[in-house]
Amino acid sequence: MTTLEERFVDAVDRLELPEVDLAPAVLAEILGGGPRQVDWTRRLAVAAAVALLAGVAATLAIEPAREAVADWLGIGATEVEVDPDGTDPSGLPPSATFDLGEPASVDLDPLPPLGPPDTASDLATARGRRFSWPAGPDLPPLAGTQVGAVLSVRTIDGAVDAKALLSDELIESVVVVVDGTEASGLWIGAEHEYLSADAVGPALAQQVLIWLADGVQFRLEADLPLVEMIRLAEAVSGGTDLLQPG
Amino acid sequence: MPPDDRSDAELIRAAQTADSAAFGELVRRHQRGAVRIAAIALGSADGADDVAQEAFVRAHRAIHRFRVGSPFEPWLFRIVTNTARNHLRHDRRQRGLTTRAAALASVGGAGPDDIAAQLADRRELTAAINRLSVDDRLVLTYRWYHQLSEAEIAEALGCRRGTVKSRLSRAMSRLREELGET
Repeated sequence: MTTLEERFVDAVDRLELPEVDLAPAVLAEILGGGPRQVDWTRRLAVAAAVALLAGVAATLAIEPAREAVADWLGIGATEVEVDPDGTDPSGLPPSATFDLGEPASVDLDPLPPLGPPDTASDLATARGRRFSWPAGPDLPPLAGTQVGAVLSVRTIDGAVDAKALLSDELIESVVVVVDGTEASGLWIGAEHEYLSADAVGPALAQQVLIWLADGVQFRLEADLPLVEMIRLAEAVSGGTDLLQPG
Repeated sequence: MPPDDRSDAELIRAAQTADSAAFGELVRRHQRGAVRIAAIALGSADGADDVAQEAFVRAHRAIHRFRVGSPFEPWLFRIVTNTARNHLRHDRRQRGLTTRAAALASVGGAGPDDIAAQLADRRELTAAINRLSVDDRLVLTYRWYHQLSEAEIAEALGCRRGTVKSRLSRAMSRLREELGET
């Protein structure tokens, strides 16, 4: 008796597929191409247009992202635009090393599993702070940097950050349990363009988890699987104390 | 060109140092699987080679982020399926996977009635696969055809590892329903 699995494998094995050698065309494109220009004028216009809506979104339950994502969605003070015809972000400078505020003293331990951060800065456009940790054996470096993780904590009543993705397939709504309370979160599991209200020009961001707790937006960027990011997010300590200037 | 006997990990490490020839070998080694996954995701062989080609270019741009030692295919397949979904947004043509005409020869050795029954079964199964959602087709292909582990399927689908088992179970149920075997 042939099992369903064997019948499936047989059918997939016999699918009619194009017989091509892709290597020459791929290599020609790799060796001949360069990063495309980024149209940030339009991105900034979109970010400004949705500033109010992003605030509203913070108070609403986020629909399952795969169904809900149309052209944009927002969480907290972050606007996310999905545009399949958008630009490839891979040539942008990494956001992890951007100058995103005034240096602050490293007097807090917001993410105990990672130990004390090695840098901290006060955000300029919203009340909040940004912390970073160096890469290590269990914390891969963010592309083009020696930084392993970045955590920003900010109020959602200031300027809006913008993100642009080519596809919504790696966006997922998630729940982060903070002090026993479920908090809405958004997972972006792919590198993307990121325009911080605290930086000049677009940057490359990688995998990012954003969540809202007590009216505060947390943003964690690290090259880790979603399950590990959620584990880290749920370990953040300090709550609104993290907003205080250092 | 003599065969390159370096492992995937060695090729990836070389590609990360801008060795384009090494990446070319990765393309040659994995293009068949990439085209197959593109076809599964598109629901058609039409355009699967274009999707796979674009996916390899995207993979090259991101190769510096790949963790050497991790399996390459789940990572590549995720890029392929995302690329395929982008293509689908712009292309709403009627689609459908088909099996090769040469399949007739592959059931040789059996009698005419057996051959007819096997071909009918294959056609019926292919039609049922066409009626499944993209996610259902992919999860079954990753598990049954590519024999990926749950962790690898989670990587390829971009989902939590804990949801793979239930996704697989639902996809199997739906395939059985499509075949009228419930």
